[in-house]
Amino acid sequence: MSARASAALLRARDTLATGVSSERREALERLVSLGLPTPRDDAFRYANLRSLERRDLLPAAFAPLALPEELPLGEYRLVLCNGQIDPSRSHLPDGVTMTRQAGLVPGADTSSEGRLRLLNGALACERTDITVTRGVNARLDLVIVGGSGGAYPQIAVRVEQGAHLTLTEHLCSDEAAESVSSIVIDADIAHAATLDHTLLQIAGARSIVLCDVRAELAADARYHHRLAALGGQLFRLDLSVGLNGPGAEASLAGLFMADGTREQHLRTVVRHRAPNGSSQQTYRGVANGRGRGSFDGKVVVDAHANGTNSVQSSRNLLLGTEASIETRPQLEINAHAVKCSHGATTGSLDEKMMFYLLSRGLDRDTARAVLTYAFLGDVLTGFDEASRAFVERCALTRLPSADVVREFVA
Amino acid sequence: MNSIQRGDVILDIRDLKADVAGRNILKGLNLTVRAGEVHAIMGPNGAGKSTLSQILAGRADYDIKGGSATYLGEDLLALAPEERARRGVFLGFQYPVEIPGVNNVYLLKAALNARRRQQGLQELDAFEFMAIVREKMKLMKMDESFLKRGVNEGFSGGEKKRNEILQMTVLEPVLAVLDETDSGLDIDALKVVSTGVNSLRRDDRAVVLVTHYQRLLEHIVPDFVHVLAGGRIIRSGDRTLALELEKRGYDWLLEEPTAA
Amino acid sequence: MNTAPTAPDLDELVSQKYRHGFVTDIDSDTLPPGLDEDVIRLISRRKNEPQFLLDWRLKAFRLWQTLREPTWAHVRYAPIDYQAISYYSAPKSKKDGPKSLEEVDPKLLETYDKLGVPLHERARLAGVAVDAVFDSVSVATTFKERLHAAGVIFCPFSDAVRDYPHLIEQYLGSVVLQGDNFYAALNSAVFTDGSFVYIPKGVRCPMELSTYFRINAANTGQFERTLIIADEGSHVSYLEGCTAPMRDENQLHAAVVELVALDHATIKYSTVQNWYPGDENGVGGIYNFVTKRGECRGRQSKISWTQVETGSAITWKYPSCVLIGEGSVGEFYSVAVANHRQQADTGTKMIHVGANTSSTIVSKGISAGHAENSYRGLVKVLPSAHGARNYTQCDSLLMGPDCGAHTFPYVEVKNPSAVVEHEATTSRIGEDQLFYLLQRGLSQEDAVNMIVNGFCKSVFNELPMEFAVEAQNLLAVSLEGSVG
Repeated sequence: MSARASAALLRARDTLATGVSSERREALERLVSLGLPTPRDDAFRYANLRSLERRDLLPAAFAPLALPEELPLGEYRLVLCNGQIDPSRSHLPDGVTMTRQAGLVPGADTSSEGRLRLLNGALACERTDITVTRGVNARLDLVIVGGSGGAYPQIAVRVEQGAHLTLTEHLCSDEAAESVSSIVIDADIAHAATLDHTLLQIAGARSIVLCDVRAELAADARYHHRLAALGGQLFRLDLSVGLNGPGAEASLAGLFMADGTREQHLRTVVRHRAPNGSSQQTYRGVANGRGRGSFDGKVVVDAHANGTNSVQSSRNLLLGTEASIETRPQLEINAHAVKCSHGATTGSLDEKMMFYLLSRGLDRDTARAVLTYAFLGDVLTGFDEASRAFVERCALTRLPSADVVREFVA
Repeated sequence: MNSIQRGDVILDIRDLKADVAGRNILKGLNLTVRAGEVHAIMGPNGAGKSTLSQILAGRADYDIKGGSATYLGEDLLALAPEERARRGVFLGFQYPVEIPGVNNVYLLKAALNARRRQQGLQELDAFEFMAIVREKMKLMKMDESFLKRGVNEGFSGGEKKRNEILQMTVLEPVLAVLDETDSGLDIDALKVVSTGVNSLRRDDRAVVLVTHYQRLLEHIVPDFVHVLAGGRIIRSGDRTLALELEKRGYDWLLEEPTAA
Repeated sequence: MNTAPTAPDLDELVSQKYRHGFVTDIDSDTLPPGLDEDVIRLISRRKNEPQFLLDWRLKAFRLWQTLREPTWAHVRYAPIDYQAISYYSAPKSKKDGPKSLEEVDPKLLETYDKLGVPLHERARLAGVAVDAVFDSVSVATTFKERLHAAGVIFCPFSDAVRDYPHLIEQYLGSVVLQGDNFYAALNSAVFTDGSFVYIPKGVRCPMELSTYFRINAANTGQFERTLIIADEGSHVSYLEGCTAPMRDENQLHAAVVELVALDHATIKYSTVQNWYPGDENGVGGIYNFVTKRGECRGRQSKISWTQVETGSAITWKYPSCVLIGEGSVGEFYSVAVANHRQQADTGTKMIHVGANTSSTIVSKGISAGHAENSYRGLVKVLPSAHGARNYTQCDSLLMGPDCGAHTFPYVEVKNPSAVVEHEATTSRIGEDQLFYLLQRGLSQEDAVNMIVNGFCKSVFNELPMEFAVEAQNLLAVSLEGSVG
């Protein structure tokens, strides 16, 4: 914990506007003394945050930022620019309500993830509470746009009993913007309610995006999380899911592409606290060029959470000679009647398949692209149609010989 | 032990009622099986056929709600599964379980010696044991490499069923309950399995075949055929009943109000 | 033919708990508790060591003082008072140690007989050469002559320091540096004895080598050091066994094992660890904090670790391979059983440095009672390790509602041509399997034993025959009463 004082934090503290509440000032002070997480912190073994040091962390003022054109948006949406709601572009469906209030500072949690939450809490301008009324079935897009400087969205989603929310989250920023976002999303899913949560990360190449999602599930609740981490300079997702009531189910899946010099880091913690829960995790990662990717996934089964069924799979493709992938699938089992498994693989493309394609006349780059695409394919099937088409488009443009591959998949 | 005569009652099930996971599956089943007999129990899917086999073998996740099952004069339902096995009750599983790393022949020897101890017989040494196994394997047209593999590990469906019957012929049970032993078998395998079962037919033993199809009964000719539906035996007859079932299906029986 | 060993007679096994819990009443020369540079000088003087070794020890001690005990393992125990431990205990005997078996104290010979490790060469383990380490010193080494004829050096570490100082100076601490970790540093400072093996070029060691470690004295720690060097094209299989008396206090065992395999050499290292595990309530038992590492320095060299860990109150142990030579191979096969209040945090590290290196990890963890059992492993593929391969299979079996099974694999790949696969499962003993075996007439205990042995089979297969049977028996004893 004797971390070097962070220069970026010190700068932020010294220039934090007057008029900021003393509570947030103290939070920042606390964070300055605790320091940002470093690779010495177990949870940050793979994601190095040192690139934050050169950034301006101060929250940027609200501005009506442009949205990328091609976003797969539905009818209803909530747009946040630099961490604040843009009311003129936000419309909610029936049965979904929203309240805005001042940002909350989290309690004393000195863990590495807790310190990132503290960063969000200290600098968040506002907090948005979204509630889906009992029994309602709704769809909502959550568009989070960042410009230069810091953005600290804080969002709480409550899905009431039996309700169903399909929430598609778009994380975007201007390609050239030096943006830093620390996003906190807390989801509370009531008895027999469902949250389908898709996260499309298509931030610009100079953006640092730290996303902390916590979902708490009551009995028989469902939480589906789909991730496509495609953009950004450095992206980290902390996804923590608590199965707190009997019969709860979580299904987490996604893909990341760490190409160029991009870093994509994924950390999941699934905690089974009640009997007869089930969780599945399926992740695919690709690292190319000098990209770095990691998957750090932990499943904890508390004592008496009998009847737990948990499966985790992480498969990774390492394509570049200077790229790297790190995986750490962990199981902590304290109950008796459980069935848990995990599998992780890291490797390059299958030579036999490569040869087959080459012998059919494809050039090496195209064959690689086709196989890479196929590798990601089985995760894509879990996305809803609009998101899937969008992710396919984005993923394809990242691959060499995109046009040829497009013919293959069409 | 060996004083069973043809016609002695081996299994006597009276008004047996049983639940699975809170659902009422057997609703008052009656069945008497005597030494020297082969009974076939047929019926539509979900009638309770597999439940009956599993209960006879002592599977724990069934709740007996009433009635009785008597085996050679003893209360069968009061015995632990392994006690039933040692007394000569053999279940041929519909889905034989894979047990990785456990040697097939090792299981066979342990099972046979457990049965022999119960019968007050000497345990066999490795040579005597292997002599028996080789003979039975020839009968079952099985390769010796089977023995070295893990129990059912990586076996095809047909191999698993053959392995079940091999175990049965080695263990020589008094009452063999074969649960859908014919499912998933091609005609050659079916013949081999039938040869194995027929080799077991003797005056002091009985066989209960649980099956969905008539075709097994062409190879193992039953003395009695029962139709199990809705948790009860609704019709009993000789093997002509099976032929009729094949022609007409089960619906006509289910519609008839005469079920006793 | 049926080659599988028959199931151990359970009635017999049930009646015995920890078989090796007796104490040998023998006069010992034991240092008072405490550790400082004077103690280290005293140990070194008592062993007539050359100056370089004393300097090396002192350097280690100074490093140790700067290090902290590791806290990342999934184990819990009260702080250890390192000043309350005696760092040297030796059975009193003739001044320079026994020259031959005839000179060994009969009480010691009797002890090893009772442990099933007869030191008489005509006795049962005729194909195995044994070095017996009793508390801090080696008391006897068998078959020295026959090994000598083959050019193999197999002797107590202290003898090697005296007779082959150049080899010791060259290799000691070259795999596990003095400051590698807290316990390795402590061992480097105070180690007393252990075994030394050198297999010359092209020699296939004519027999299994074995060291049998025995802690006897109270309030002592055991800090042995093993160094095995397999020169080019040589081959050796080495076994170690460990037991200790039943005592109410915890005793520390902090060993270091270093293996070096040169071009085309193979070292197979097997352990059956049965230190006293403490009683059902977790009172007493050995703290087994051990650093084991092998370096495959040569091309096509191979180091294979096999361990069956049934004893110790706490196990902290990660036998590892550093795969430097091109095409070198590392293997780790482990069965770790934790019952009652035992805690095990064990696994391996496979560091791929050279091209086309490959490694295999098979870990089987069994938890019962209130025990905690963790697999912790690192597979690291460095950018230089073109074509590296790893396969890891890691399974846990839970027997009872109060135990824990944890899996912490770390996989770090920095070369795109590498293929790394990790698979893990955790489940309780299969109800279907159990029922199937009961239906075939097996008793509950036999059925459980059979399933557990099947579960561990791929590891037992790696053990030399004599040890495989012993391991099965140990497993049955360790899990006795854990399924009701």
